[in-house]
Amino acid sequence: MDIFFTLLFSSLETGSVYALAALGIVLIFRTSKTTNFAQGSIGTLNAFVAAMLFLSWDMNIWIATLLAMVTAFITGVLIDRFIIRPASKANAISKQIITLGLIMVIIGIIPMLFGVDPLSLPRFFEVNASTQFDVFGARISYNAIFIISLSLGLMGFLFWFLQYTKWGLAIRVTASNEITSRLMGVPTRTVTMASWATAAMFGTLAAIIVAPSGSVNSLMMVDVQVNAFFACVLGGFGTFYGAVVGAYLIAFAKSSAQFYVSDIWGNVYVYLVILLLLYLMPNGLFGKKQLKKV
Amino acid sequence: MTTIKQLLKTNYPARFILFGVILSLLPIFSEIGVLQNSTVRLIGYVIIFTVVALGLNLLLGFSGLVSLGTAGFMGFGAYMFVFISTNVFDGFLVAMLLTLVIAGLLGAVIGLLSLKVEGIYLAIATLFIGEIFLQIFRNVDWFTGGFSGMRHHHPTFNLLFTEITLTRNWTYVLMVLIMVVVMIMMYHLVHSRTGRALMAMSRSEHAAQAMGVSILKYRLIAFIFATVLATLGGVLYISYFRFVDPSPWNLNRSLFIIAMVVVGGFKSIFGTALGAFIIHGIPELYLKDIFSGNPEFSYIFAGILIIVVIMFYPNGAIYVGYDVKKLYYKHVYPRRLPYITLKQIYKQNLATAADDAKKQLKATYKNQRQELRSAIGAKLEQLRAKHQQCLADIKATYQAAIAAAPDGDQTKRQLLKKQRQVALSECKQQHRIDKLAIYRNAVTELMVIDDE
Repeated sequence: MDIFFTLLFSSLETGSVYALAALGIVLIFRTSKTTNFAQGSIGTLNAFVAAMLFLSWDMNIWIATLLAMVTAFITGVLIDRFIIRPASKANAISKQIITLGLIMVIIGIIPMLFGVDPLSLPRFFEVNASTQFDVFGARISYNAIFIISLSLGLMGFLFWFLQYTKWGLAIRVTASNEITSRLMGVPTRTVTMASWATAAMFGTLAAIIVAPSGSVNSLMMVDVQVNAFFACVLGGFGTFYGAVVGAYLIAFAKSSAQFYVSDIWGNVYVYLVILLLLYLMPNGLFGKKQLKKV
Repeated sequence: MTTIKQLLKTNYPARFILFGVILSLLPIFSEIGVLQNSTVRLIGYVIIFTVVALGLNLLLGFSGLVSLGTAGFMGFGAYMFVFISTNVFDGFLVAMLLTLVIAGLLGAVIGLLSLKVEGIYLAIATLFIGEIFLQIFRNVDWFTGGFSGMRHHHPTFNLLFTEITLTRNWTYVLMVLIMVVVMIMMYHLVHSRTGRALMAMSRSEHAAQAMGVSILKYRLIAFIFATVLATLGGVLYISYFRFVDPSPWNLNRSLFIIAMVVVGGFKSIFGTALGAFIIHGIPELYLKDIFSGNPEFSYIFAGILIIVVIMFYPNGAIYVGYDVKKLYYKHVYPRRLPYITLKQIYKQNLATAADDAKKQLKATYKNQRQELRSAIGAKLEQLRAKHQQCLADIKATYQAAIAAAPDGDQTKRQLLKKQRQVALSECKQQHRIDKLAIYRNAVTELMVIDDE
């Protein structure tokens, strides 16, 4: 039983990271009609900012994170204003390729701005014997609890925002039909810009959470990015909550497969199962079939 | 020479053969020391990328699907080729064909699983396939040798009684040959029923579907083609470089290949080769020394090119030639036309003239040319004076009108200003037309003289 709970807590922690990234991807997919492959790279760029502030400027990790959020917001707005909006008339594939180009630009820019050596970031709360406690025989750290509750809180806030505020309504109608909502007076440009900024912030938070378990390098988010995409596909791009559920499911499936089946091949099996599932349920677990008018 | 020109005009694939012949001469230049050996290696790499990018171009350019597993398939091809060569049969052609067949089957399975839904899912599915491949390359030691990689030799051909192993330069020539074959195949595929179906799909999937084109079938064909060519690229890679390890086959390599297709030009065969050279060759050849401080410079180069090309020049770099030609015929050609006509007349005369008259003809031609130039120059000078006069008149009229208008009357002033602008632009327009008329008249005069 204790092994089960250990797996559950660790997958809740990684699942939160995947869910944050996946939510950003879905948000952009719904408002800009493109799959944003650069989600992880934007997060990485701003995690570098946080690490730089922390290491070179001796800032508190909390302040560094907050400032990285601000730069993430700015990055998102700039990308939307100067790349996505001018290309809004291009088709979905072109926009997809543009985000691929963005990845390359970011990978190239990082060593220019921050040097070639990998940096490091600490956890929000130090993990040692005194900051852990037992739940049903499994050890869980304050840091993990903080991460899980922060992500759940943020996502809960986003869902509340989408469902019960005027701006949330604007985002939902833009997602459902951009042209009609513009005719109805919804400021769709601002909505798109806001969703890029929000997605960039979520991505950055995910990157800062992931960073302590490795180093801050330009490839650190590849794994998160891949899993976030799988989460979106599994949950379906049609709904906002589907991606979050998918993220936690994938995290749990991966950590159990890695523990019970095979250390190296566990996640490959999970990927294959999901590919098969996708074949049977093309729109994901929660997606609805999208009908197109010709 | 003329027959070659005729051949190139009537038979488009002949251009691929000519291109291949020129490329396969490069090792000779390196042998005599004109080119560095590393440059030939680089061009070899570009050729491999061209083969891979051609496959992706069919997928991306025609059916609008993005594959992010291209590099993974390249690596798979390289490892599979080594595996078959060492365990099954050590001959280039047999091992290559076996590898390609296996890759085609694999591509069919992956395509069937992921192409049923929206095209956007293929990118994500192939992203995973790429990651799984990378995992296999790193961890399955009996197949890939793990992190230490695998070694292999240049291609061997088993003839009836003997066995030939190619040298490096002959391997290069073999690669050029395979590239030309792939280009010709691609050309014929694009101009066949399949190509027309793909073209219809790329314009409008719904319309194509309504016309009876099976979207899944043609998407699958394009994906299998891309997979097989990526694998072929891997086979060429191991044959030319003789070593393979897991490091090059990551997502970034796939992104570079997408950049080649985008920058070179969708749906263009030569464009793909050009794109491969721009993305891989130019940073290595020319920009490496300038930006030696930043090892990741080529990423910025490729990334910015992708974004800029998609946003401002969606046709790709291959269309630069057409556009330059268009500009030439619009702006430069009319001015050159009198001289070109004169030269043609001279050449005609020269062909019919007796040998001893030729010298004199040449002298007359030179004289005529000089005269023509001065005549046109004089006319242009006159015209310019007229134009200046026209502009000055308008300005004077405007000044007078402004002086006559009351001081506070802004609307009147603005109206006058607008009138002045219109008059000026009319004047310029007239000037342009007159200028063109001078050139045209010169041509007509020449023709008339010639007829007499």
